[in-house]
Amino acid sequence: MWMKVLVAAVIMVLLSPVFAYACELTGYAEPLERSAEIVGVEERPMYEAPMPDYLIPGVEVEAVSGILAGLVGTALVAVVALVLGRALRAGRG
Amino acid sequence: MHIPDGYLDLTIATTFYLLSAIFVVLALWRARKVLEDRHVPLLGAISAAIFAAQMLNWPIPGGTSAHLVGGALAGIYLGPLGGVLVMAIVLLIQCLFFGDGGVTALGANIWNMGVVDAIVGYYVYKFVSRALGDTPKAKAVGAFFGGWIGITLGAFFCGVEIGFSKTFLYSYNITIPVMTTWHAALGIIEGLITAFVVAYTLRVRPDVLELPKVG
Repeated sequence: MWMKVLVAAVIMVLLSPVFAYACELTGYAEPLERSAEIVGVEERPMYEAPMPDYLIPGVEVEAVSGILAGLVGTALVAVVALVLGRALRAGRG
Repeated sequence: MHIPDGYLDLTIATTFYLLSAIFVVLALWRARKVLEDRHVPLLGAISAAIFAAQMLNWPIPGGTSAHLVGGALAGIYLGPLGGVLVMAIVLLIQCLFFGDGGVTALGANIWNMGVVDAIVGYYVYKFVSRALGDTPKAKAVGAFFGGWIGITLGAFFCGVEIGFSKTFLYSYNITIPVMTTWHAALGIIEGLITAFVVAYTLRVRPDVLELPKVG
């Protein structure tokens, strides 16, 4: 059963470039970005993430880059959650 | 709804870091007492699925976009504090590895999309489900309202955090209405997706939703 959920997660990651493209076509912006636009505020990045904007640096094709980043992230989250879950469970004795 | 760096005053950022930290510590403490072996794969699967689902940006007519946040969903499956843990994990990794959400804003983001969304989402779900008789349909309706109201309230807090920041020129009279009303509308989608996932689970594996909740 958990495999099915993981498969669903992988499928969603594989589909993400399609959605990103659709959003580009419609020129969307999140309400948070809109708020910033209205007030005239800009971001001030203070930290350099290894895969900024869900893209793997060096992978030319954006869709592939995005998918790879998404898969890495999904795996990371799963592992961290599982390790944490095990640690918390083990603590009960 | 991930607040980037540069949007929040230091005071606001710190305040919400503290508030979120309290709830995360509480969640870890409660989880230690409640979690059984059978919770562990659920924790992993839900966290991974929510991360993946958040990668889908849905273009909305009118020039905006929405993506599933999933806090209420996490709360419904793992309990209010369990949901806080799930969202904290997702948000932490999004921030550190992908720059999604500022490092100074992590506390606020965990508050909005974790603490508020999961806790409010869960209790609204419970309240509505119970009021409607706790049948599978009642739970789906409860999940809808949990998802919808959870996200709307989370967005409200987001509007508060940025709106009371000097960086945003204390424009809370703009940010609070903009964030809240837009997400009240977009939240309907979140509600529907939450309801759909819960309804599907009730059909194929209702036992998953019967696990002890971390609360």
